[in-house]
Amino acid sequence: MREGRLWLLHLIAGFLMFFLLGSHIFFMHMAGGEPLSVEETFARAKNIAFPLMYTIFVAAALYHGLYGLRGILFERFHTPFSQKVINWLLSFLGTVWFLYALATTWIPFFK
Amino acid sequence: MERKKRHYPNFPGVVGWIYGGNLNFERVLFLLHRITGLALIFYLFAHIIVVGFRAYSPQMWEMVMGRISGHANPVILFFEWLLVLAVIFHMFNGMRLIFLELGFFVGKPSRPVYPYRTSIDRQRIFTWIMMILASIFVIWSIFAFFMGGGSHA
Ligand code: HEM
Ligand code: HEM
Repeated sequence: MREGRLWLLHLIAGFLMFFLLGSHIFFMHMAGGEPLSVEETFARAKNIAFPLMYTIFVAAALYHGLYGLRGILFERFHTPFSQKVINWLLSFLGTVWFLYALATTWIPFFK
Repeated sequence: MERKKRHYPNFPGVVGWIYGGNLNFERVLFLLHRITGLALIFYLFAHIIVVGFRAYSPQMWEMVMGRISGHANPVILFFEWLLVLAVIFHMFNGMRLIFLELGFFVGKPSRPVYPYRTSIDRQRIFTWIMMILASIFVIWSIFAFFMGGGSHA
């Protein structure tokens, strides 16, 4: 994909996360209750809205974070070869972590 | 094709993160944005693994949370709070960057007539608004974390 498109996606993911991560932090820390208890955690896992929301959230967070990391690494490593290595490495890491997150989000929903 | 140089002669390295020629308000925000962004992506990798334990069994989840949640240990609670500070800052400063980079709040282009106006002055108002909003949430987080106002009582 063209460089400008990748950057625009980075911004869109950031914009999305303003709401997704904002509410995540709000409900995990500021809203009260026991969000980390077994009862509340598995009640969320069984509610289709949460796995769906987390699927978008993990994708946005991983893409946004890894694209940011890529930019920082590109500042240091200029050669086309090293940049190709960085692209492959970060894409690989992102894919593996995304698939693991996807599995762990949907397994409790179906179990 | 000419081979690309390994280093540009003016490549400042990590020192350039901190000192890139001048050190103004936006420069400090840039440094903080970079540090918090890096912290968040590394946290996210660990977070996905930890939070993934809920897929194995409720007992497993209870055991893991009993060891590493902020409820379990005040030192962890403190680091969780630092993380939340990083999120709040990165969120609001990131929103500022999105608007500015897309051309909002930078003022209309105008003919450069002395005394020149810089768009920095226009941006600063918005910058301060975002930082004040972030501060409100920081204060809220102190109540939530350490004064029994949130999920940590
Ligand atoms: C909460 C909502 C967030 C918003 C609004 C946001 C916004 C932004 C923006 C606008 C940029 C700069 C893009 C540019 O200058 O072109 C950025 C950079 C970055 N963000 Fe985020 N972000 C958010 C969350 C996150 C999260 C959750 C992570 C980590 C997983 C993250 C990691 C990074 C990194 C590593 C950079 C690169 C920093 C640099 O190049 O100095 N951000 N973010
Ligand atoms: C210390 C504060 C945080 C706490 C207590 C927390 C807690 C949790 C919990 C319990 C889950 C599992 C889902 C659920 O039970 O509903 C989860 C999922 C998630 N969190 Fe956080 N979180 C925190 C901060 C963050 C931050 C800073 C990020 C972004 C970098 C983040 C990104 C995510 C993502 C993407 C998921 C979905 C992962 C998946 O479904 O596998 N969280 N979080």
